[in-house]
Amino acid sequence: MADLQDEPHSVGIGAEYLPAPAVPAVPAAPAVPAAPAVPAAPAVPAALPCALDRAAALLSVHPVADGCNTLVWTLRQSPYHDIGTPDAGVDTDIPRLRAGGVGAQFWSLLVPSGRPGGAAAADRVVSDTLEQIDVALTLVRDYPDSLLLGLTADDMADARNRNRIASFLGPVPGRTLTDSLGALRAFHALGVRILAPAGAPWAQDGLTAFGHEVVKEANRLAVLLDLTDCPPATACQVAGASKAPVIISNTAAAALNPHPGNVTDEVLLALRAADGLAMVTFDPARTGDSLHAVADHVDHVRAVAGPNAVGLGAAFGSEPGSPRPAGLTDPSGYPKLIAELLERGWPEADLALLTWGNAQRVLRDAEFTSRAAQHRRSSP
Amino acid sequence: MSAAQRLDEARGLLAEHPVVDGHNDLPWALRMGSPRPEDGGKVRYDLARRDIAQDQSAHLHTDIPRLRAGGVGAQFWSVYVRSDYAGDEAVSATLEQIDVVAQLIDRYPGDLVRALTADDMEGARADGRIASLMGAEGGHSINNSLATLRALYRLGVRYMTLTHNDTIDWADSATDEPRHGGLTGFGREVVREMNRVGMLVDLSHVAATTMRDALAVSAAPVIFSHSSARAVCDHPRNIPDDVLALLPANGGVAMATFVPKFILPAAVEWTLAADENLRSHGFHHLDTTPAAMALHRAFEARRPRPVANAATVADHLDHMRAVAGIDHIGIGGDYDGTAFTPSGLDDVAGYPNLIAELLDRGWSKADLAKLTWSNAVRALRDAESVARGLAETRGPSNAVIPPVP
Repeated sequence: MADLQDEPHSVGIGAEYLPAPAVPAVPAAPAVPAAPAVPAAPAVPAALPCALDRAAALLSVHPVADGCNTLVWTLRQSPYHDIGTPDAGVDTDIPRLRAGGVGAQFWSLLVPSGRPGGAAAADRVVSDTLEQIDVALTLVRDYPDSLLLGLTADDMADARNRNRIASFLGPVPGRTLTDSLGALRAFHALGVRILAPAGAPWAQDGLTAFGHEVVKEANRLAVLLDLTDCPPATACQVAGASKAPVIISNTAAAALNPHPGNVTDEVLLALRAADGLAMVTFDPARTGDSLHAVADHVDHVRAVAGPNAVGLGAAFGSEPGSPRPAGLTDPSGYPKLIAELLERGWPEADLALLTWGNAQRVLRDAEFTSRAAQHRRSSP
Repeated sequence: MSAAQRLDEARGLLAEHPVVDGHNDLPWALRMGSPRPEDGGKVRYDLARRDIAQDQSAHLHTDIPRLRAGGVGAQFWSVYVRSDYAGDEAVSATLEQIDVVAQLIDRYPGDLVRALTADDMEGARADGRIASLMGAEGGHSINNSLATLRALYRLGVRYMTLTHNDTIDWADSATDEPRHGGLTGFGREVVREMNRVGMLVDLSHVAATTMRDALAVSAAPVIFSHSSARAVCDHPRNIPDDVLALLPANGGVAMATFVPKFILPAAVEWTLAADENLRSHGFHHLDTTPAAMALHRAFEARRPRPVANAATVADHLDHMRAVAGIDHIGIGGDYDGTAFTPSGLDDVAGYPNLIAELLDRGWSKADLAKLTWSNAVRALRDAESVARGLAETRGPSNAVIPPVP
């Protein structure tokens, strides 16, 4: 049904209807919008001389749905940034998101641990989160010609068709939920669509009974669970308990770099089994400090979790000073990564899943699960 | 005209101009309501067990049949949380209270309908459903955060009482030691931000100094969601005449409450003595444990509780009308937020008795229509209009309370 409408501009319609690519169009552009049904043609590189051009053309049809950007917290610290124009004071602005082919962004609402405020801050997790939501909603409202609040998978398709960046709110921290689900429903009502259990007392050493209740309610509301930074055993348990696919919004492969924030192959296999999604970060501490290193992690996640479970979650959104892999210092770098993956022989169908398709499918699956759950379950 | 005819007339009037009640604590009563032992006291809001489509008079002042019998057309459901809650606990509990109102509206769609605007209230009246609005009771619910205030607004809250029983960081309460002499600078900013988003400023529970400060700052009408006249019964929860006299210029509405211990002088004294009795036995005066209740019953046997009635409330309304004017009064019963209620106004079915009493006193139908319905709707409509104007000139405020050095 609605799935059939997701791709109207990429199947059977000429390139003249496509959004303008960020780089000059190449003569063979009509060949680019390869739907998953079209077998990946090894002959394509001959028709398209430059991988970067092909990457840009691909992204114009299958934009990046990025799983993590921390701009909201940065704007709360420094509200004077104007991301409508190129802003040297922060790594994310709309011109660079556009140049990078970003079509959907999950805006993280987490507050960094170790922030100033000490004990006073500890009793403000809920208020802090409401402040983050407020900043994010203000951001979306302030740039209506570029950003569109994303609440459903349909909004992702709609934003792409209207040349906006679908803006999804989340994750919010799981520790905002202490012993009841009212706050989760309030966050959902305010537009939040992702919840991160890491650090919540109910997801420390496996899920508590209340933790199971949180998972069920998140499923019922179509709120995605983001397992970033969950211990592997808990991550596997949540992936199994959740009826909807889970995501890891920013991570890298522990098999290549045993950083504590990186995801183990065991968890990747659990995601594969649960139709989940692991989104690879661009953090040199976790991936290594080159574009090639990031591509290696993307390759590994695809190899272990499968092409249906790999995505991108760069975690941009900082002020200058955060180390970044060379070539991937801001969101305008995505085409270079896609070009690298093309050169590594990734079929375009897999790239379309990596950038856009998997994220949209996860949101849609979550909504389907939610509709099914609402038949069975009223508010607890 | 006989009493029965008066009552019929009152009912007829309410059918056309139903009651907008400013304050009902059903959400808190449902939160607290006798959790089953087998749930370990952990289940809040057992809506199936307290099905308000059925008669709940054994447990609650409020259910849908009695709201219908009482001629209630719009209810501000209080999303109150205890004023000793602070920080995240206060905010989370408020979110839960908001959530249960949403659950009630979902559960009884034929009788309750969500209302966010004055137009929604009129729509509900035309539909024959009870417009369900929300009011937060106490600034502790926003944890000193204006973004949290905006979140409450987005979730549907349309008034906030600036304080509950305790003085908070930015406003003095009527029933606690003053710390600020009214509103602080941040408190005034809270009022301005409420004006900007279109949330009514509720001045019940606040100190008279806070009332005057808020009226001086507010660009929109204020309300008193459940307060009566101090000149009739000298209790700090009531409104002094000089403040009532400010309402015509402000456009606000003072909604008379029915709580006997605030409105009946004899009940004020009796309550003081009863509280002292509990405290002298080592209990908190609001304790409702069986041991405390037994002591309380013994006290009541020795000294019968003075009983208020519809005439007591009418005395307040007569005075409030004389001072503030017919366009600036309303009704806020505080049902399910008070242990005792006046005779004849025992529960939410009682409003026709009050209207009949006022008819007896010569109030015209046009006057009563203002009292029950149109004044409160107008206050919300005017607040919406002020917000539209202010939103064009100001963005969201992110003011904070400066940290103490």
